[in-house]
Amino acid sequence: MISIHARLALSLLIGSAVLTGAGGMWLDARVRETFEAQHDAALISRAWALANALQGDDGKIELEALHGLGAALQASQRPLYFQVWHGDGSIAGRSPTLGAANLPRLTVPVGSPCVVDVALPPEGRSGRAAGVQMELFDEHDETEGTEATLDAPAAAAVARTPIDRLTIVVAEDSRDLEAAMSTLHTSIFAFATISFVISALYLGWSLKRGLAPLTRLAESARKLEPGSLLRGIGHEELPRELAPVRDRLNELLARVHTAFAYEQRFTAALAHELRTPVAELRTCAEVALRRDDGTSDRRLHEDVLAVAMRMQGVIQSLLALRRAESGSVDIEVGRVELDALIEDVLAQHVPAAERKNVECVCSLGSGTIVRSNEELLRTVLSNLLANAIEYCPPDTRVRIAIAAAGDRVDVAVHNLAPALTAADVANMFEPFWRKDGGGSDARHSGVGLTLARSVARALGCELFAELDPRSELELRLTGLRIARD
Amino acid sequence: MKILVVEDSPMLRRSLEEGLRQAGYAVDVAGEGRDGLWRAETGGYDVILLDLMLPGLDGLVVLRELRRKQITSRVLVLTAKDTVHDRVRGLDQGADDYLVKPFALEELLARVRSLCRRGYSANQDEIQIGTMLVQLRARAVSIAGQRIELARREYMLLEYLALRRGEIVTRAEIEEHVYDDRGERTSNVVDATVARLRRKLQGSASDAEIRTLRGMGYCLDVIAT
Repeated sequence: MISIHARLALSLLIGSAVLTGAGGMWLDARVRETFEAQHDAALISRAWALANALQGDDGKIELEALHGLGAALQASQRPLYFQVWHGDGSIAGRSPTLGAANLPRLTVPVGSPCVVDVALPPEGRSGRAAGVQMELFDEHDETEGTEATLDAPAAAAVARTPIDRLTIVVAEDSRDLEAAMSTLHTSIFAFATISFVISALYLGWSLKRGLAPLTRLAESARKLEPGSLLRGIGHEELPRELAPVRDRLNELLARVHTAFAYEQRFTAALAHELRTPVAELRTCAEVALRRDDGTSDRRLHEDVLAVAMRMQGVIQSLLALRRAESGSVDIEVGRVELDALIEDVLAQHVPAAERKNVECVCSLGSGTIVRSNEELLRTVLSNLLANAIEYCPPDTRVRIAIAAAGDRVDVAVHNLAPALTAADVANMFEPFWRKDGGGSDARHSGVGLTLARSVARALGCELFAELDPRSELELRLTGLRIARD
Repeated sequence: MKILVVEDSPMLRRSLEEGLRQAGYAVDVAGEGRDGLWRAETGGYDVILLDLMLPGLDGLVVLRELRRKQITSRVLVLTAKDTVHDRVRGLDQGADDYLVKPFALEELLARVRSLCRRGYSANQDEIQIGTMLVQLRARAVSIAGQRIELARREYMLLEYLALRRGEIVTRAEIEEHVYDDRGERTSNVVDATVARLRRKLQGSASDAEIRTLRGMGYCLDVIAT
């Protein structure tokens, strides 16, 4: 896909070219129009001056004046051409510059001079001709004809009959005008071209400078490696538009890094966790094969079964954990009698507690009913209790406390944990974490508390661990909602 | 040869104990780090199979303590940790060998044999003393090409003496290296086994003999002519 830089450059250059071209053309047209208008106005003035000079004091045409006046009206070195017609179309006179040639007789309304392009004799050079019509009146009339003629609107208002209508056409070689216009075209074209080039250069520089933060951000992202996600991208100062993008990306990268690290730890721990039972199974089978007394069958089968059960336990716990973490657990919420549930869970763990002479104490009877999923809540509580009984010292006590506040209720399990430190508490919910480092505990999957926390979250609750200075560990399930009738 | 297995998995511990006994070793076991360290310090083991992730005391700590106290037993680390970093760390702490779980029992036994030989500067699987040939791998003894039948303890004692050929071996050393916690260590068990071995060697017309050095111990070597 074309780059943003190229796309912007292309569209801005096209825009710049169109604007420069259109601007140049408009300017050219306006200047040309102005030049022509001024030229035509000058030509018309000369025609009127000629017309005024034609009328003698007695109201008759004085053609002799034309020659001298023609020379006086000539604005440049170029000759001035003029010709005068009577109202009946006969030629009243012409300038010597015409020789025997004629100018075109223009059809000119009274008071509305017109200007046209003409071919000038003898070579047919291009020229410009202005035509005016003048009415001649009898001098004995009450109104001055010349004034009426010069002032067109006033003349229209006066209802007198003219004795003649003269058509005067004055022409001039337009090469000066054409040359000036040509110079103007060239200048405007040169100006537009230079403007476009300068604009293009400026646009290139401006785009490069403007898009530099984006380029740096892209480069920073390109250099990112799977092992350096936490480093993030775009550490330099970024414009306001990009800073939120950078911040959000870095936030997501940090989460990806955490997820990667968790997955790596999890996979390594799982592989490690399964190595020992596999080693047990393999060694057990190999030793059995080496026996030569034929007595190995029953013990071998028992050992194989025990290892299989352990591996099954690990796999089931992992599957449950995955389901809980992915949110694919079906949660049907209903009314759960908390006392009865705790009593039931406690009963399951009595044999384990008795083996260690651990007393389980719980003050039931509150009659609290919560809105939750009974089976999932049982999973959480069972894991908390199993953990407490397993890791408390023998001959001690495990205490279960229920605390209601508002529409919420917490369940906390307390046990002595003299071997734990505050730093250990942070690791307790990590899969396969064990305080003593033992890696072959056949009784546990190693993900009990991890599973409990994931399930608790799926239930909309949270699970916290806290160690007090007397080395009493509290695992607290918070956020259970009390059911109202 | 006497082996200590320090492994927290009861099933693996039991299997290793049995497998090593089948292979003719005296075997003691420990299920956690502190017990393992205590046994290793006091048991005079030829080889210690040491798991790294142990309850009570970490395997690497056990290893460091053994080396600090100059316990010369060969240590084979048995662990599920398989990264290069883990191996290097184990070997740097003083392990003689490293085996990752799961492993083949045959390979484990080969490594144990190798470590046993290294302990007595023997580089091969066979020890020739005159006409007597002790085959360590096959755990068999032959004299002039004729195999002689030996009981398990008899072989273990002869192998230990053969590994220390020409050296005076005390009764206490024999007890330490040949008998484990299961063995009945009566006061004359070593003397009785040596006596049986002598009869079998003489019956096979071997030119190797086990001499008694009164008040000192035993010495296996070719009969001086």
